[in-house]
This record gives sequence, C-alpha cells and structure tokens, in this order.
Amino acid sequence: MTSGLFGFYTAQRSLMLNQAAINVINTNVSNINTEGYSRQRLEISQESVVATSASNPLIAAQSGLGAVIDSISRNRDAYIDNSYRTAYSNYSYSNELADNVGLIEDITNGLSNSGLGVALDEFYTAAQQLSQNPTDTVTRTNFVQRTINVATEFNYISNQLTDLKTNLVGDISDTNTLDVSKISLGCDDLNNKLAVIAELNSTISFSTTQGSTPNSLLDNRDKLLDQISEYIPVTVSAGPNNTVNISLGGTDLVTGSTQVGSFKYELKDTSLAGNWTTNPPVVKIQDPNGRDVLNDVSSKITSGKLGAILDVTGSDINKPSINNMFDSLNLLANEFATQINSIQMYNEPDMEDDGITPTGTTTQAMCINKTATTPTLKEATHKIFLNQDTEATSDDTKITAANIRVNNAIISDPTEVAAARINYTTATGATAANIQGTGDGSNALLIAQFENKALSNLNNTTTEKYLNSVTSNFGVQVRDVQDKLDSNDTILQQISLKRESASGVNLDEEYTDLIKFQRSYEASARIFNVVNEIMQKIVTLGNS
Amino acid sequence: MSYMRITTKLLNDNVINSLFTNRSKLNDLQEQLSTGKKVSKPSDDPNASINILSAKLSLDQVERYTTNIENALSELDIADESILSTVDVVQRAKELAVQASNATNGATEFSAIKSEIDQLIEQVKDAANTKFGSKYIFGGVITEIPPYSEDADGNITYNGTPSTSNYQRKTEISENITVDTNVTGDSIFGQYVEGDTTKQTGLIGTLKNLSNDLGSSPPDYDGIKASLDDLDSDLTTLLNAQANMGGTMSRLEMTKTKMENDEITYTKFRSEAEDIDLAKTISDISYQETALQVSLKVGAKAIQSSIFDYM
Repeated sequence: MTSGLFGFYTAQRSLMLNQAAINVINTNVSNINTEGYSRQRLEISQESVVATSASNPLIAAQSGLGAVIDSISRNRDAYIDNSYRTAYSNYSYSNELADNVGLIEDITNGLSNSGLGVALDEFYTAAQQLSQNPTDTVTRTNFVQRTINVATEFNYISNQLTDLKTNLVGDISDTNTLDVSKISLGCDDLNNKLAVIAELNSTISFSTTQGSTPNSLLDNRDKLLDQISEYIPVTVSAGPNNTVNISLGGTDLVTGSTQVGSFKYELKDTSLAGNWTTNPPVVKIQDPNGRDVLNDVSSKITSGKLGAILDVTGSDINKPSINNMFDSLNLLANEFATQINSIQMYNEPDMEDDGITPTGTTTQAMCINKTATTPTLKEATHKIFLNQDTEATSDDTKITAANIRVNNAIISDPTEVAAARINYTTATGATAANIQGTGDGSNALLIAQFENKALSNLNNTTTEKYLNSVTSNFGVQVRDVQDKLDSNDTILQQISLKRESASGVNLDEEYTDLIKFQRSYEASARIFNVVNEIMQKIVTLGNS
Repeated sequence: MSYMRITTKLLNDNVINSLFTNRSKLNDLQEQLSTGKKVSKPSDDPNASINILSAKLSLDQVERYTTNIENALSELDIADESILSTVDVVQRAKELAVQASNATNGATEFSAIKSEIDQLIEQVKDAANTKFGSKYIFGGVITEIPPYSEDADGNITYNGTPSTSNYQRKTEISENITVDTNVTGDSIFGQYVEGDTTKQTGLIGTLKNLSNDLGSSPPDYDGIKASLDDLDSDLTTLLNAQANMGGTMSRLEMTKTKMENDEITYTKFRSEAEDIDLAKTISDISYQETALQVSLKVGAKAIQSSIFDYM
C-alpha cells in the first residue's frame, strides 16, 4: 500500500508537468516567426519504479505513480535537412550565376539602341559617306568621330567587364583587391561560421554529456549549416554527443570542437607575382597553423555562391563567363582594327596576270596632301587603330578590346584618312606625293565594303554578324541559367515546404495543445483538492 | 488518412509566393505593353533575338544603300541637266552653222555669228564645270579643280581624270555591287588646244574650230560646212552619254525599289519577332489581373481562418 501522502506528489508532478508543457507551447508560439526554429515537444512518459513487492498489485503493475518529463525534443528530420542544403547550394549557385551573367548581358546588350553594334553600324555608314565625298571636311571629321566611337565602345564594355571581374575575384595586379573581392569575403564569412560551429559543437557536447538537450543551440547550428551551404556544397556527418563534422569533398573543415580547415583566397604561389594563367589566385584550405592542406579547391566547389563566382570568372568554354566574353570581344577588336589598318596602309606593287611579274606600277592607299597648293594626294602613313594613343612603339597585332585606340595623328588631322586608292607608275621614279585625284573614294569604299567581308578568324562571318552571334549565343546561355534557376527555386521551395511542415509551428495546433494541457492542469488541481480532502478526512477521523 | 502538416508560416509563405508570382507576371506584361516590345534582352527569347539582330543588320544596310542610291541619283540628275542644256547648245550651233554657210552673209553677220558661237562655247564650258555640292562632277576623281580651264590663248583644256583611266567614282548600291556615278568630261565635251589636232576633240573642239573658221578672213566655208557633220556626231555623243546615264539611273531606281521592298520585308520580320501582339498582351494582362485578385482573395481567406475565430 502506498502512502496516502503520495497522492500529493503525483498531483504536484502533474501540475508541474502541465505547466512545463504550457511553457513549451509558449516558446513555440513566441518563435513562430524565428528563422531556423524547430518546433519543440514535451516528451512525457509514465513514471515507473522497479517492483519491490509482488504481493502488492498496485506496485507490481507499476501504476499510480503519475507521469514524468523525459525530454523536450525538436521536430527535426536530418534527411530533409541534407536535401534542403543540397538544394540550397544549387539554388544559390544558380542565383549568383544568373545575377552575374545578367550583368554581363546588360553590359554587352546588342538589342538596345546604343552600344558596339550601333557604333559599328555608324562606322560603316560614315565610310560609305566618305567614299562618296572624300574631299568634304565634315564627312572626314564625322568618319574619324565614328572611328573613335567604335574604339570607345570596345573600351567601355571592356572596362565594365573588368570592373565586374575585379568585384568578384579581384585584380591580379593588385593583391589588395584580392582581399576585398566577393570570393575572399565569402571565404572570410565561411571561416567565421565554421569557427562558430566548432564552438557550438563544444558547448553542445558538454550539455549533452550533462544529460540535457540544448535545442536552441542545435537550431542555431542548423541555421549556420544552412548558411554555409549557401556558399559551398558541404557534407555534414554526425559525431559523438550531438556534434557534427563538416567536410568539403573529403577534406575536413570541422571535426568536433575544432575547426581543422579554413578557407583562404590568395595567389596560388604567394612568393611569385600574380598572373591569370600561370599563377592565378585560388581558394585554398589551410590548417589552423596557416599551412596549405589543399592548394586549390576550385574543382570541389561545384555549387553554392562560391561555385558560381568561380564558374563565371573561369574559362570553361561551355559555361557563360566573363573570360569567354572577353575572348570574343578581343578577337573582334583585333580583327577589326588590323583589317581596317591594312586597308588604310595598303601599298602593293601591281603584278601581271601571272602574279609574279611586276607591271611597273604600284597601287597605294592615299590620303590628302594638305601641304600642297593644289588639291593632291600623298601616301597614307598613319594607321587608324593602335593599342595605345600614339604611334611610337605601337604594335597593332596586340590590339584588344581594352587597349584599342584611334591614332592621335588621325584624330588631330582627319585628312590623314586614306579615302583614295591610286596606282601610279614607279618605273619613272615617280613618288606617291602630289598625285591628283582627291575625289577618289575607292579606299573608303573598301572600308565600307569590309562590312560584308567574311573573316576566317571570326568563324567565316562578318564583324557585325560575329558580334550578333556572340550576343545571341550569350543570350541562349543566360536563358539556360535562368531556366535552371527557376527549376532550382522550385525544388528548394518544395523541400522548404517539407521542412517547414515537419519543423514549423502551427498556431491551431499550439492552441489545441494549450487547451489540452490547461484542462489537464485543472484536472490535476482538482485531484490535488480531492487528495487534500481525503487527507483532511483522515486527519479528522479521530476527532469525531 | 495521411495529411500534410500545414504550419502557419507555410501558409503565409504560400500566400506571399503566389502574390509575388502573379505580381511579377503582371509587371512583365505591363512593361511589354508600355515598351511595345516583348524582347528587350537576348535572354528574353534567344530565338527571337537572333531574328531581331539579323533583321536589324539588314535594315541598317538597306538604309545605307538607299541613301547611297539617292545621292547617286541626285548627282546623275544634275549631270543629266547639264548634258540636256548642252544638247540645246548643239542645236543652236547647227542653226548658226547653216546660217553661216549661206554665202550671202556679210562681215557683220559673220562677226555676230562668231560672237554667239563664242557665247555657246562659254555655255558648254560652264555646263562641263557643273558642281554637285562642292565637287565638280565631270572631272572623274579630280573633283576639287574645275575640269575645264581656259588660258589666255583661248585653249580650253580638260584637267580631270581621262576617260581611258580606271578611276571612276563608284557608289555601292547593294552588297558588293557598285555603279560608276560619273561621266568624264573629255568623252562628252572634248577639249581644244591650239595647234594640236589630237587635242581638238568633241563639241568644244568643233565649236572652237567653227569659231576660228568664222573669224578667219575670208571665212572658211569648207570648214563651216564640215562643222555641220562634226556637230551631228557631237550630238550623237551627247545623246549616247545621256542614254547611258538614263540606263544607270533606271538601274538605280530599280535597286531603290528593291531596297524599299526589302525594308518592308525586314521591318515586318523584325516586328514579328520583337513587337507585342497588342490584343493578346491586353487580354493576357486582364487574365493576370484576375489571377492576382483571386490569389489576394484566397490568401486573405486562408490567413484569416484560425481556430481562434471559433473559440
């Protein structure tokens, strides 16, 4: 037979248990909008003791002892968490990539009414006008202005792309920019988060060995793991005492309470000067002493924000990247400039039909001989395009989109543009100077007709068609990235939904539970009263 | 029975998601309506943008060639007028030559006829020095110097590019097709250099000789009579040049018409790829508006309903 007083304890435990349950509901309701919060549940079980007397059926059945709190658990599904993180990595990759390729597309937009396409169009129009009016000063000046315009457009696009690249991965010639690049800041943020997780692991492990379940710490750690998967695709595995281990492609980052690997973005070989091809900056994993564990982890960062940054600044020809766009533009700028220059500087002895025997005449591109008293021509001596402002040591084979310039000699004197192409007899020792025919626009016509010339270096297409194909091919790639973003977004939403469904708080449910435990509390109080009354009865039994 | 646990946050997120989706679709459509274009970036519709870009390229070229043709036509028109006025000169010269070959003329009459012929020579010279804008049109590629100059001895020489040379001013009228837009003066007007019969050619040569024949004392009747034949052949030269020019002009006109047709074709092609179908977009917008209203209404209902309303 149990003690009569025991009823008090059972009722008291019940009151406390219901209060605790209401407290858990309180916590759930207050955290309804907290990101990363998992709904908590009070795990209750029957109180039991080891049977001491088989003769007492009440004790033998282990009944009448009430209920106890086992634990306060989290509604969390590790499998969904893992799927969520993979999906989040993929989504973040697509999102970051879509943002950046969208910027590149804006910079190189061929459909708008400004930009390189329009500049080329106006250039060819100006060349046609020049071919018809080679002696007109206004036409000449206009032609030179349109030429400058083409160079400026190339420079502008190139600068914009360079700025974008510098923001993402820094400028190779200035190591300070590497440290403030988006990828380096991402590495710093990752390191902070990994350090916090290591600390959390330590606290969680301690609490767990003390027998408690540190739900809020676990929630915090899960939130951090989500945030890490925004940057890189990590593998999370469970360790002892509720700790987690984090690794990237087989390389450990956090083991228990120590952060064994941290990210560092710097030159592949810091003892040498930076160079995009031979010594580029890379993402490294270093141990706590700053020694390289892995010199280049680019190949392991296949998704997440960092993966997107590496791809958009990389050189994979199958992926849309700044470098690919640069290559196309440089090719176009170089081909355009050298070809126009070769028309401007044309000077070839004429040959008989056999192609070997000189005819004694020379065909030469000519510009206006300004110093002569009568309108005459002279040989063209200045290239139109250079890789710098002045001719001194210029080499037009090195022209790129970034350095293409119009020769200052041409800008300051538009009569230097060779609009005429004349053949003259060389046999009699005649020179090219003082030849009549300023109205000849045949060289300018050749510049205008260059528009329709298919160039082998540009995939056998013309300058403008090449530009169009670059723009539209990039458009196809951007579309592809956006479609992928849409599908990754849908997948992420679905998994979020599942996770929210498992771990989120539902007010209706909490309210129902609240009422349940409130009633339960009321009932326990009533039982307490009844036990109390019984006790009073027992105490006053002898007084009657 | 299995069910999905719908949490309060999930409900809110769903409502917000569907509102955002509908709003952004509506926004896209409204942007299309305000710009009139359904493609503003290549990635909006890569296939359409390839068409748009190539149509734009062709349209730019058509525009260029059309301008070229119009310029060439204007220049040829001016040249045509000059030659036409010269034809009148030849007719008048013939009348004068016939009149001069009449033996009843006295010295006064010959002098009057000679001075009119001299006037006609000036007229021919002026016509040959016609300018289009700032350039002399009958001098080949030498456009800044008057093609004909007269020295103190009365020699009228041609300074332009000779008709036998390769230099003609060319105009591109469609891809890689060029036409010569000039007629060199020496082939139609000729020239005159005293004492050098190889340089006494064409109309100017004939008129100059006629003037000399009239001026000599006594007038050279044989020369005057011979000049009638020369004038006839000069007239033929002029008419031939005019016919040639007429041929070029009609070719230009035909190419221009073709360019205009091309322009319509390419514009239509571009418009089909780029422009919105107004009726479709407007009906899409009203559909999308309805969808937005539905999601607003459903959302409001879904968020509102809670167990608190019933307790």
